[in-house]
Amino acid sequence: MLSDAMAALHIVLSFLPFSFLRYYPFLNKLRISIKRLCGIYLALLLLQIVSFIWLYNRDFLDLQLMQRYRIVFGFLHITLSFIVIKEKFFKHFFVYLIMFTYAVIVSRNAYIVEELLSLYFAHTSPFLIMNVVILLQLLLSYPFVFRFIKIKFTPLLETKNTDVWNYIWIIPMMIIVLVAIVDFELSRKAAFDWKYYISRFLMSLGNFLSCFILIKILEQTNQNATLNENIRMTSKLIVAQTNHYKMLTEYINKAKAAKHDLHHHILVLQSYLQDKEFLKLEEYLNKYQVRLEKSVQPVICNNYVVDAILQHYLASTKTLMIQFTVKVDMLVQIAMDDFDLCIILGNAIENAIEACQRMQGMDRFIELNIKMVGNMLVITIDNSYDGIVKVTDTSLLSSKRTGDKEGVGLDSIESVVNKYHGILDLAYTEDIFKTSIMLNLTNS
Amino acid sequence: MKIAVCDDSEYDKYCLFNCLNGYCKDSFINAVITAYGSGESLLEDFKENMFDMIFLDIYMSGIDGIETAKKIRAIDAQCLLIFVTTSRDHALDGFAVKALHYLLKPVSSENLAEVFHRCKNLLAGNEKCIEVISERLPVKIQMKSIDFIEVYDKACFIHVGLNIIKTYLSLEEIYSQLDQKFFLRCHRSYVVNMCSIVNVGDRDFILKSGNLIPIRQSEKGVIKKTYMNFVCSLARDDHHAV
Repeated sequence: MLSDAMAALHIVLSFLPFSFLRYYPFLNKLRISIKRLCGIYLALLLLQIVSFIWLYNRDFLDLQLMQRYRIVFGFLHITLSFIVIKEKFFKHFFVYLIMFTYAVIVSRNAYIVEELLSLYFAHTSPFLIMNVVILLQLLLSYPFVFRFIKIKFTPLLETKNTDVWNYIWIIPMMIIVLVAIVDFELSRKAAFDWKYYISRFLMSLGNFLSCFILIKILEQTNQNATLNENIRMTSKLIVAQTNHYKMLTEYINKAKAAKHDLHHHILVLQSYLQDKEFLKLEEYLNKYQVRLEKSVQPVICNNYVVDAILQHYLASTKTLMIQFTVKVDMLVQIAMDDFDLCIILGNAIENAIEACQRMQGMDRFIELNIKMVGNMLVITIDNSYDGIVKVTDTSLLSSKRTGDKEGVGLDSIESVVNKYHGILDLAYTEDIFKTSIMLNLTNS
Repeated sequence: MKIAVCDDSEYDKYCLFNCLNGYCKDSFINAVITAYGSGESLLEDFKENMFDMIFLDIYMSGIDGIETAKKIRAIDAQCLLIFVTTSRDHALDGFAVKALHYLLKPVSSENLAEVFHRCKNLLAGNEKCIEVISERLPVKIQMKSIDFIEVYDKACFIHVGLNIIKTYLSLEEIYSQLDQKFFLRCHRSYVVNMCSIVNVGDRDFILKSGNLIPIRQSEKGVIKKTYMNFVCSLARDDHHAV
């Protein structure tokens, strides 16, 4: 009875911890609910335990049957995880391979220790020693591996714009094949052979090294993506600022000219007045009024940066025949990095413009509202679109950009929203796409 | 309705006064209009709740319209401010003091109609009240002035600015009296006025007064979404803003 319990514990110990790590990075990408997954998984584990105990309590240990048992359940575990997790194949294949290696190392070590010690503890259950060794190893390594997976690895899984996943799995795969070949020939003698230890050590080292390199690559890719995005935004900003600067210079020149003209106008008015030609006087005044109104381009917003950006897009939408209405109600000074605000406005407006360009028909519009509510900045952008929304695995994309750039704009909006602990909400009807953004600013 | 007009140009003041007077008579609005010739003279008189609406000229000798508005806002957060101006250039400063509208000179009665239309929605909100029994006496509370309501030890505490009104009505009963467009049941024992919220944290709403109102964690998503829809509706359409 005790040995049965030990056998059961052995199965649990050599599967459950590793399966948990296997599923952990993908918990939000499951095809079924977590509860259901747990149910299915536990059922599988139970089945495994029962058949393991049954196999072990037979009159003689059929090694061939044991091998088959391992293959069948290993296969079931793989199939379950690949069916349940919704992610690019090679991505979770890599995670699977790494976890597989981890599990194999732990259980092989336990096996070897048991082999070594069985001479001295011949009477104890064979699984007792193994379980103790596995537990010890897990206690020593599991916290670190878990932390590593949680903090370093999981965030990097989101990295886009890289095809490193398609190749990186080859390294652990090769090593696992090697291990499998060696382990098949594993005999009792191997436990006393130093060559075996060294080759095993090197193989596991190789596996973890591949993991390490992968993380370095992904970090670099991420950094590059942010830098590229920054460069793109900065160049946009420079264009906007230059235009704004030009506009201001124009104003100044116009004002100078107007001041000069004023002198002339006064002279004309005076002469009309002297001659008592009131009709002509009125006519002249009306003409002057019209001219004055034409020459003044209204300021949209007193926040210089926002105004520059909005003027820029106002001009470009005019040429694209998109009706762009803007309503800004915000303080001149807000507790927010100008650059962040530009990222949000620039990307959101650009997405809206792109959506408008994709659609046929003339009723293309963008409606932008910016408003301070308490210490929160609320930005809403409603635009017309062609009615086609692409929903990908992870996020809803407003646009159907092709190639690698897909969704970059929305991603950078999202990262700024997260920075300010805000909320990003996308909603759509048949012909209007609504983007709503709320940012928590600290008291300014 | 109590209305003030403030303009340093005698002529403009006269025009606006006449126009307002005419409009109010035509549309059966019972209005008392007071005219001031400078920001200083208005501020000298000004007390909280003295006016429902104030029409302010932006360019005035002495302190200008924007400065006057800031000082008015420091005393009275509720009254409606309307700027009157000759050019659009400066109108945007008005947003910092929560101006309702700006009018371009010369003011016509069509322009006034638009202003009054927007005001009507706002002022209608002013009159909405709830009635509760506190200390065995019925108390009328202006709905807009309620910041939040909390349940503590079988009693409900209605927070109105610095005042707290205690009542033994259940939170459900009070909540059913309130306008659900503005009030959010964000926790088992809390109802919050969404207009009083200045920040949204992970676990609570932060109010102007600094109070933290907890968000029911099991319904966090729905509650935040409701609030998000509320602020976005404010941004999309100013008409029923406060």
